[in-house]
Amino acid sequence: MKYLMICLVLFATESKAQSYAAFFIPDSLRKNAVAVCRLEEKKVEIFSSSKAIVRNRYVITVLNPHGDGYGNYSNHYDKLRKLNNINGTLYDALGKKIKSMQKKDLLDMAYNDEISLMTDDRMKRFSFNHTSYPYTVEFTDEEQLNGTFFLPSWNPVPGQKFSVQHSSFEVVLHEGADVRFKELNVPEKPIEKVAGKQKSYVWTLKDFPAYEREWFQPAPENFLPNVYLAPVEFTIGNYTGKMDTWENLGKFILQLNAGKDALPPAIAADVKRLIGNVSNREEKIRLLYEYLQQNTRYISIQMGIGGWQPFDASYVATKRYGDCKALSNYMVSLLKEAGITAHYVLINSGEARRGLWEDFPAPYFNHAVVCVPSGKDTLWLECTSQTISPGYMGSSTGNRKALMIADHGGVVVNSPLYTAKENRQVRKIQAQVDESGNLKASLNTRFSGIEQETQHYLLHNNTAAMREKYLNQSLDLPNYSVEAIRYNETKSSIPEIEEYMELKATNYATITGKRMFITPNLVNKVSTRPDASKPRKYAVVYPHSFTHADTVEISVPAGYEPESIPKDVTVDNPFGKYSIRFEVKDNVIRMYRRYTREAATYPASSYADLAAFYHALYQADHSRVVLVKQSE
Amino acid sequence: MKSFLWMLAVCVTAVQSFAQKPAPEGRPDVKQGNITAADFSKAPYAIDSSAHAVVLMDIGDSEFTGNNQSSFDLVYTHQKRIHIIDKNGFDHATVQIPLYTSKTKEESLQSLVAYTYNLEGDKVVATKVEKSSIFIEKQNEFYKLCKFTFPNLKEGSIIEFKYKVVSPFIQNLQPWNFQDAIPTLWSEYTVGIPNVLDFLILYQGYREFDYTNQNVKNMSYRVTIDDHSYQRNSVDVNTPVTTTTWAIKNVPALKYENFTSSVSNHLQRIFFQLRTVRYDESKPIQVMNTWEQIMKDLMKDNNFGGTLSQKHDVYEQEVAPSLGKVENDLDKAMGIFRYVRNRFKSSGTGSIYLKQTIRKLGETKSGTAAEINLFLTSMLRNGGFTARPVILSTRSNGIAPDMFPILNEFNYVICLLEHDNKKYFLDASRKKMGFGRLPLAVYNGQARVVDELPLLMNLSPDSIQETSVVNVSINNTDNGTELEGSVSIDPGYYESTDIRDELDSKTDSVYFADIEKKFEPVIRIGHKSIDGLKDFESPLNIYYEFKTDLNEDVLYFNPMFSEKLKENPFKSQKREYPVEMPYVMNRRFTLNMEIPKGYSVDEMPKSEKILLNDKDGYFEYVINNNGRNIILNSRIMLAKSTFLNADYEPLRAFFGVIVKKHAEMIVFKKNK
Repeated sequence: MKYLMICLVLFATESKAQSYAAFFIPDSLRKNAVAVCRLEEKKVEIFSSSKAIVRNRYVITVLNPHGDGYGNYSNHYDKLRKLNNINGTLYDALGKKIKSMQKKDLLDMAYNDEISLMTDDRMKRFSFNHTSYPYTVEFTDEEQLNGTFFLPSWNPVPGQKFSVQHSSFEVVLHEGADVRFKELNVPEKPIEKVAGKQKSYVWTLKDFPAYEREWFQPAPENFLPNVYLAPVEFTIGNYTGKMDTWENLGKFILQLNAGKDALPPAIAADVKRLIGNVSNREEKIRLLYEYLQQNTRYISIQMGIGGWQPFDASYVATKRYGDCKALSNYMVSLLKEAGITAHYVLINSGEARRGLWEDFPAPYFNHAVVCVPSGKDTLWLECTSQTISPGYMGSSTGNRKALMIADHGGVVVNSPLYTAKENRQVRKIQAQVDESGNLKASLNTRFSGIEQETQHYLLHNNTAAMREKYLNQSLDLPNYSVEAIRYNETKSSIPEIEEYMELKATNYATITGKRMFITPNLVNKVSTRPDASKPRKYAVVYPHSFTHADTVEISVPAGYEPESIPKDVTVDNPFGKYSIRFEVKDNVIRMYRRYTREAATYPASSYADLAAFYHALYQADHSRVVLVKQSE
Repeated sequence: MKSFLWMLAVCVTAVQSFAQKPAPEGRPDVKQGNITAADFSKAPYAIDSSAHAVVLMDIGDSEFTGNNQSSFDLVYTHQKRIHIIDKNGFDHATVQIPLYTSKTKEESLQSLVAYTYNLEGDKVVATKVEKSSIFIEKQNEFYKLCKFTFPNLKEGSIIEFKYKVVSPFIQNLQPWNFQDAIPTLWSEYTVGIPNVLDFLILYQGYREFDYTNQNVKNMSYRVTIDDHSYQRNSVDVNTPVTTTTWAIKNVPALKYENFTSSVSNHLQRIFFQLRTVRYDESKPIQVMNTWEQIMKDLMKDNNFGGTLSQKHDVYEQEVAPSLGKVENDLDKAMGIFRYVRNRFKSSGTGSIYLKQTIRKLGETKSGTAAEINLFLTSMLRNGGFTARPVILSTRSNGIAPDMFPILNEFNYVICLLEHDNKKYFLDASRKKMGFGRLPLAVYNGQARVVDELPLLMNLSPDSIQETSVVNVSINNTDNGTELEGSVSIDPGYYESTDIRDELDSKTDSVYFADIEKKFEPVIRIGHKSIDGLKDFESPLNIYYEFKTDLNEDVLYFNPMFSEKLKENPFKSQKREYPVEMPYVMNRRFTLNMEIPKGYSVDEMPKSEKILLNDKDGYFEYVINNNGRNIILNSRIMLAKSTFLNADYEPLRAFFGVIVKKHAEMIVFKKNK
């Protein structure tokens, strides 16, 4: 009761000043948290299709050193987006102001995305570098958007171990302005208000506890609250457009790319020369794609209107370089010259955000590719690589929805799907173990689909020395050296790489007195054993589909007889199919292993079973044969 | 190749002592753009047939010119020609040139010319890098980057660029690396130094120069001497200029290896240090001085030692109150140390100088390691202690030449506390370093105490004994169906620090679950503890108890359990540089195991002892079975931390024996 009284008094005196004292954070928000958002007010005011202002204000209490990152200031700006009025204040644990940010301490730096040669993006950053915990920071800033093509989103929970006491997102529409929104996991509908000719929406999030990342968890957008905005009509640079439908967004892209497909005469002549005598359409596409690969390279230059307009075909033709947009536009132009219709496609590459929301046309893409439609034989072309097979998208751009820019506008399409049938690794090993336990092995492996991506990268994007270094470290074998390596690549829309490797592993077999211990599964062991002792909160999203088949034959010196042979194991359940079989006959150990899985989502309640699945595979894969030398 | 780094210094004014070497075969025609069809030969390069790109020539030139704003300008001209052999070499066609800026001065890029050359038929066709494709991007307040990539690039293209940077920072006479990430056929550097500027020249590397040349010419410069009066004087300086050229041909690509302190310590390079400026012979301006003078200056310098002894309010207001009740003076010093270590945030390693005043540091509580330790020094002095800064160069920064006082080569400051005739080295910039402990990164040979007597301290990794002791005991249980055991681990101090770091992001139970996984028989860990997690002065103690089932007729035990050395740390067969380990390794393991009830030993490993090069180290593995118990002692002991490459083979073989021995098993059979 006494405690309550004190609080009441404090509230009474501090309510105006909004106390940031850390002891006002309820225990439910401290749990698992390294930082707490005490208050966030994000306000987007849209005046017209060419003007919007975003005001950010946030107050974050950092509870311990792991939360320091959440207490730093960082925001981007570029030519279409000004960043002003940045203010910061630091408060101690009791909510008493310690100091304000000094303007001169605000860092202004080039935004380095580690890929681009040059971008327009810059960023401002600041940190109080405070080390007495807990402490509280308050930052405010203002973004002036010169055009509404990119509108901000509300992501009140930016990461794990971060809880939210109170966050609000207000969107104000001035007369004539319009906006669409996509709500994800928001607890309540927005409060709508009309005041004169202004309309506003306010979303609020209160008392949202911190979450902790889990192994193979769903993408955060599946469980965290978010609101995304997109315009109906927009302006960007000197362009205007609509994105109320995917078709209209596509029309805008057509406008950006218009007139950029003219090829210099020399290149047009090359196209004629290349396909002159070829009648097969697919062959023509392959030849022109190879021409692109041989004559260009990827250099990222993101300048001008938000990095959305490609350099034209003649730029690529003379420089022989371009980014994904320029190279894709160039590929479409080459195909057009050959009389083949192909389309520019906007896509999200990588694992982070896959695909798009079909019901919410918005400009959330980070990559461009080319699609050559032809019903079942539709071909997809990745134009930034000089080595990828024609038609192959793979793990970075396969298995997802994308926006194809057809002649009449945008169309949502599916990129190629890669299942356990396509993603295969079939390996045969012939090995000998000598009297001292040293192993010599030849490994013949055929990789296909997503399973060949590592080998493709090794083969094409590494120097021989780097490849040797990688191969000599990547296998789960102690003390080995790769003695020979050969690759044979078959290009196709499901590319295949055959790898032939010879290796020596000293003391692979452990010898103690008359016994020899050998693990027959040389190089393809399940290495994960998930910890099932902790309760699982989220579903398990397993993203990989593959089939592995291993056959191992190890011959051992004469005179050894088996003392212990591992048990055969077969597992067939919703997580996957696995079987391993061992044989020892006539001084030869044989192992047959098959493991297939499909990408799938499993409910959190099945986690213990999934862990048991991994444990069973781990044990079977690591099991060993014990041989005993027979006395003469 | 010589095993030792050779490093020597030559004073440029000593012309007569300079050994000239005539130009050898293979010196390329350095005229820009002079590229013929023969240069495109597809034959693999003898130096490295698998190279994806080869530097055909890398030519640098630094000279001084007059200037009417300040003293001299430095003009650096750089020309580089690269043969791009295949696609994997394309990355070398993107170039970045840093341009440094200060508050009042900046470097300027002049006359950048770059072309791609392709062989079309038998004609060499040049494509220019256009101005519009050259970007200059401001990175931050310290520098800009000029960035460009070559157009019309194909497999087999030759690219060439040449640029000039005019710099007002005459102390920054560009160093030259003769070695690159790709092989270099010809690397040449020419430096023209007016004798009024007396530079020290330092060499590092394993190779000798293939070509050197030197000549002297009289020159006249108009420079502005800013003598800090209101009047700036433009004067004509007449001086001989000594121009020296060094070149090496066929330099292989730089190679990265494990257990190397810093690859820059092994790089073939030349670097410079300004010693004196002699506009007027009678009034030389000392830039580089004797250690004695440098230390005197450093102690007075407000950006270093000048304010350390002053009274600072932060001591009375914050540091002293944080100490609480102290038993004695050493306790008090520890308290001051802990205050700084716990409250300050390190932004990493930078220069040895203060960028903020001590007063400002008291407010921001963040700075470079040097700033934090200078602050610590100041607080200790405010507390009445004798504390002095010590400057050094960290391992990754390379070895600072100890013969010459070149402060640029130093990048770190620690604090030396003397109390009760004892010396304590302190580093408060690392959260988990205890009082009197230093991070491994600073053990890089020589360090200098900043004092009237600039004492040379030796911080050698050989002085760190990293001793770990593991004791395992295993006994029968009453029920006879399982064994119970306990493991006590005393890791070395630095290993303890690593575990503390690991436990920052990992719970204890995950840590022990990982140990469980490493065990040979399947075990269940019961009681467990980690002592001393927060006691940063001492190593940890880790203890756990476990049980394992006795349910098979034949039991296979690896007696080293989770402590076996699984892999040879020295994987590659050949070694280019010496092996530089961070400390001297000493690992002891003992096992005392009751033979499982109802079982007898069918076989067990044999004892073994080996020496590494007589006295560089030894490994012993002594195992005994007395009928009731098996007792094993394993010990790996090295006598030093650094091994020359001549000793690489024996070192690798030594660890090979250990790995093999540690894999061996004990086999128990159930009695019939």
